[in-house]
Amino acid sequence: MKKVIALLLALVMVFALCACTPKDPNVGPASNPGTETTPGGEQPGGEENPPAANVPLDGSWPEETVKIGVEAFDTTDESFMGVMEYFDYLGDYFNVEFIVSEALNAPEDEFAFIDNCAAAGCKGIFGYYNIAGAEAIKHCTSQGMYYWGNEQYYPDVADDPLYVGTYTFKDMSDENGKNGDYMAGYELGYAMASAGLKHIAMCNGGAVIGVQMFLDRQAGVLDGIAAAQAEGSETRFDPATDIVEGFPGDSYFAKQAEILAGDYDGMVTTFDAFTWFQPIIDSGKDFKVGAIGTVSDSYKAFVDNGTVISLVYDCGEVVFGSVFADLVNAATGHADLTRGADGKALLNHTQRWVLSSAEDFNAVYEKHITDGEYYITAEEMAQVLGGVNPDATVDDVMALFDMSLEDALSK
Amino acid sequence: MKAKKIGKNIVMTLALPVIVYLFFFILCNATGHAGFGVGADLTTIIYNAVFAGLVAQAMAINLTTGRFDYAIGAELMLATIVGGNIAKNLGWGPAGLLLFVVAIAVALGLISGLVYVILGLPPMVISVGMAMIYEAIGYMYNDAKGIKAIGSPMLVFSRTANSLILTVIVLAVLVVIYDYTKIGYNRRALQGGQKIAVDVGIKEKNNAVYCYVIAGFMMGLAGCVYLSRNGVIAPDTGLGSSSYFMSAFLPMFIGGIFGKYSSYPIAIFMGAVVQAIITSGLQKMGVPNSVQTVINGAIVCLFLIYDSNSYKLVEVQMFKEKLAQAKAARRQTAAQ
Repeated sequence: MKKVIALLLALVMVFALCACTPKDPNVGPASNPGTETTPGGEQPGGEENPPAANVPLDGSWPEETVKIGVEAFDTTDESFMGVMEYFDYLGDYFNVEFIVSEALNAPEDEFAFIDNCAAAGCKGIFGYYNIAGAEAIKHCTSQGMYYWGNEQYYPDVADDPLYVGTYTFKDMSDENGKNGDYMAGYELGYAMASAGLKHIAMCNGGAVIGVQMFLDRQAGVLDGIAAAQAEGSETRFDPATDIVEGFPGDSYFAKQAEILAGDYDGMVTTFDAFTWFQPIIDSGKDFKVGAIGTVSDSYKAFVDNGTVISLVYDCGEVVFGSVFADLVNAATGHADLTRGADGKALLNHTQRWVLSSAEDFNAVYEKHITDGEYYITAEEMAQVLGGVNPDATVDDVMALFDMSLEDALSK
Repeated sequence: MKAKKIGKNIVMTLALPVIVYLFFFILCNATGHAGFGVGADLTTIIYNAVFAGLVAQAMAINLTTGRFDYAIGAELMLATIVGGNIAKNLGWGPAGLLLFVVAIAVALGLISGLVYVILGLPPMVISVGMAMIYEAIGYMYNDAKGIKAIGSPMLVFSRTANSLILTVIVLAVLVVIYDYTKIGYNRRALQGGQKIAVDVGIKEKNNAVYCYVIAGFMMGLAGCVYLSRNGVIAPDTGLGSSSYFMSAFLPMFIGGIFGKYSSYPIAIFMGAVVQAIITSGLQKMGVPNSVQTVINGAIVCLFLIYDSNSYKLVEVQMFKEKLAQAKAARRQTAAQ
């Protein structure tokens, strides 16, 4: 009896292994990582490019579901949720599925999530957040999955054939250009110090515990304020006394109360400003806010009443749309569309929008929230997917996501 | 004699907050940081004390009888998100907020308590599991948007007068429960020695469920105060809700030391006041957050060390008294 059961189990294992074999050995990175495509060249034995007309945008393409893991630091963050809502929208048109991590707090959590994604059959990982740096990217690609994200580590991994790129806000012609977080802080600091305010404060978020993203944003805010002051702004800001450190907690709220009771008339925050609105209302002050946030109901009333005068906004489909294009192209045998002319992974230049008027904010609000539409539609996305549009080029991919606020509003 | 004792108890109960307040008041003014402990600063101290005090009451009622309830933060988060949204949608104002949030928090506390007594597993294990379940529900509810009620007229519980009234009522109720009811007597008996208490007929399971329910009630009130102050609560995952009770420990330890001069709940609240004063004082002087964390940790350790070893002082005192009695007896014998 035991022998029969053992034999049956062995047969089950054999069949299971057979069932796990990909239908097309050339599709997907795990089948032959790094060798299935020649950057910028032809697909050696890859999936044939079907004509565009033959690919219905009804969620049935690609034939095999492309699973993508998403590394997140806070799954309830409005900006993150905005990005995922866009991907959900695309999910109605393409057979792509996203698996989102819990809040990643430590490198071991990140490695474990990557391992889980590999076990779940993910083709790639979207690094919305990254703790372990280039090691996380290498850990991902070593398991045959593509990785998208993290400009900071781009030089270390750009040559890895399974690393498919990231975004950048840098001026590509400026070798000394700063990264996107610095630029966001700079824009905010400059805008607030140029708004005719007397005395402003700053919330520095994770800078106090050395989180690079927040350190960059803080440096940007300081430089932005300094630049405005150099141009004649009389706004006062003293880093020694005017910084609210860390995230909301007892000492954060104590400093917040001190600021709202003091002679301050504005503040810049390097993360969302939700915890300020109710205390501002309670204080009865005319107090201005500049924040890195998103176009949502949460901000609308405070933009409309003039409390929020500057909002740095990462439009989900513009800043992170290339995640979808790059990972789906790579996973469907069109990894050539993720490589630049130098053979390295794409550095997709995109634009972070600074919403400095209620008019701009409400235009985006109407598009996204009222109408439920996006500036980059599924049809436009399809045009840069090699599996849908055989004529798609790297330049098409690069151009689609390099959309300024003015471009978007004029669409 | 009785009046003297009452006077001493009142002085001892108020001594620490007053001393700490005066210490920081003088220190801040001496170092050129005027404005400590008055105006907006006082408002912040009161808010922090009320919030931390309520959370510490919830934590203490279980922890002192050996049950660390890791789920209370998740109870606050889930009850406030669900109850707050219901109250907001129905437009029932402050009463609705209080009613729904507290009712849901009590229900969550009851569930935690029942799961604990039914499964009989270690409270830490149970409460971590319950915290994860509550967090997951909070995440699923309302598309993970939590509650955003900024500007809503129902957010009145963080106003100084309202929060003080709330505190007085809560303390009165808790003092009655702790010092004048069977639940309180049994809790103290169990705190002294569970086996002996159970052997003499105290129903430990019933008492545990009551304690979890009371803890839920406190967290519901804390949720109302927190939401009133900030206007938003986002769902937490990965045990992130534990951040809500991290400020509960110092008040609890201070309560343990000074409880004998009044009542344990009152002493806990005084501990919360002390903690709020320390936080505001350090903030006023511009002490960096990292240093504040070190100082707060050191203070917690000091109180814990004192609390754990205070019996030695009593022993020394007893030894001295006995020695004095012995010497007196010896002198008396020698004189005869």
